Amino acid sequence: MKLCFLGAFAVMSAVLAVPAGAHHSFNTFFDGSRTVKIEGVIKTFRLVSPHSDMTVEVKDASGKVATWHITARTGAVNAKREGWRVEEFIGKRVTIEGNPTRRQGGTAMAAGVVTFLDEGNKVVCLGGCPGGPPVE
Amino acid sequence: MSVMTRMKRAVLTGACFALGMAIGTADLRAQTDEEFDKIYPFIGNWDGQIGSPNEQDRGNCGGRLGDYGEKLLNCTIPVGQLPLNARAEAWLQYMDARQSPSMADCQQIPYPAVLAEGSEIMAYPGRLEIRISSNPWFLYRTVWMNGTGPKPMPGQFFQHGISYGHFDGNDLIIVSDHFTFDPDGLDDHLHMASSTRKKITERYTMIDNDNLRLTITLEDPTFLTRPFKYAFLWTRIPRGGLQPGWVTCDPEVARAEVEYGYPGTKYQEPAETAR
Repeated sequence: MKLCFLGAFAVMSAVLAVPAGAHHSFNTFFDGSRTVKIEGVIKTFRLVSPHSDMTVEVKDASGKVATWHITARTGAVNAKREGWRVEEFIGKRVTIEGNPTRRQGGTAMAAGVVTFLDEGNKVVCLGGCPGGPPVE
Repeated sequence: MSVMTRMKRAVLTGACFALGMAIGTADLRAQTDEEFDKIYPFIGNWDGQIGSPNEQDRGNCGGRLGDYGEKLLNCTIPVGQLPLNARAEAWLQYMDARQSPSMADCQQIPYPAVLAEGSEIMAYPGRLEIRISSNPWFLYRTVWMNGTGPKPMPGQFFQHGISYGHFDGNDLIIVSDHFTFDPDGLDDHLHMASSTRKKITERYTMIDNDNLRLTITLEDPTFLTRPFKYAFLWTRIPRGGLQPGWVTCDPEVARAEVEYGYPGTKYQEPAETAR
């Protein structure tokens, strides 16, 4: 009987979390020793796991548009804790700093810091930078 | 009421009573004060310290490098001492991160790698429920105690195996086997596979009220030259911590991340390379 009670108590009190360890190895796909910075407009943003996912349209000097794929360094749980809302990202003009893909000529990065250019340079950390959510 | 009706009712009552006795006896066996006293110290939330300031050194994948010379990081097993056989070395030589099911298909992180994360341990009559809320997976397993629980049929295998527990003195022992073959089954950052011969023995020893030592004995004759033993220290997490995350992984996003980032064409078929 005591065990029954204890089990029920354990379920009810199971609101504690184990700190998450990084289980998607960024180092395999993104070069942590290099940083790139892009400027463009956020087209999509999905708050999902394993990592939130964003696309940004970037124009080069000739006007040619490239789509960059941005992988946040944290997942959906921390995104929700941070209070991120998709509509606050879509369509915004931003700069994004992060670690580039290891693929030669690839247009992807693990980010990093997002700066909103039309909102007084408001900064949002997508994981792993000071003041931001932990890397997952 | 006819004699037949009375007889039917008596038989039905007797059957129900026998069933109740059988179920009741099974449950009572796990509810003794002795069992309660033994299980009590292990119940709660435990941190494997993988991300804490005093992070335990697990050897950072033993200095092994990935395809492009990048250092493999955050292995949850002391890779430098892992007794891999020639077959395992061959596996690592041809390992393909793009095909890793835990990276590309949201497959849950396997045991024993996930044991580095710590766990929430809950106790019920005849079983323990252990959950690991590591993002982006949420892993839940049952440990059948003292001979209770289902026995796998021949040919039945499970990604996380099937686990049975008992006490050795005051130590909690959990033995798991009947694992499926898993491309990331020994460690998902080393990307070392495990076979259906994998067997994991966990020994949980209380050091004091808030600290325990988890000693893991890992066996897999397909990939290891001998059983391998290593340990973690777990620390109790006080109440009031963060909410666990019930989040499912999106395989499309996971796969895109791997595809956009994977640095080259080493494992791509010619048709893929030509795209």
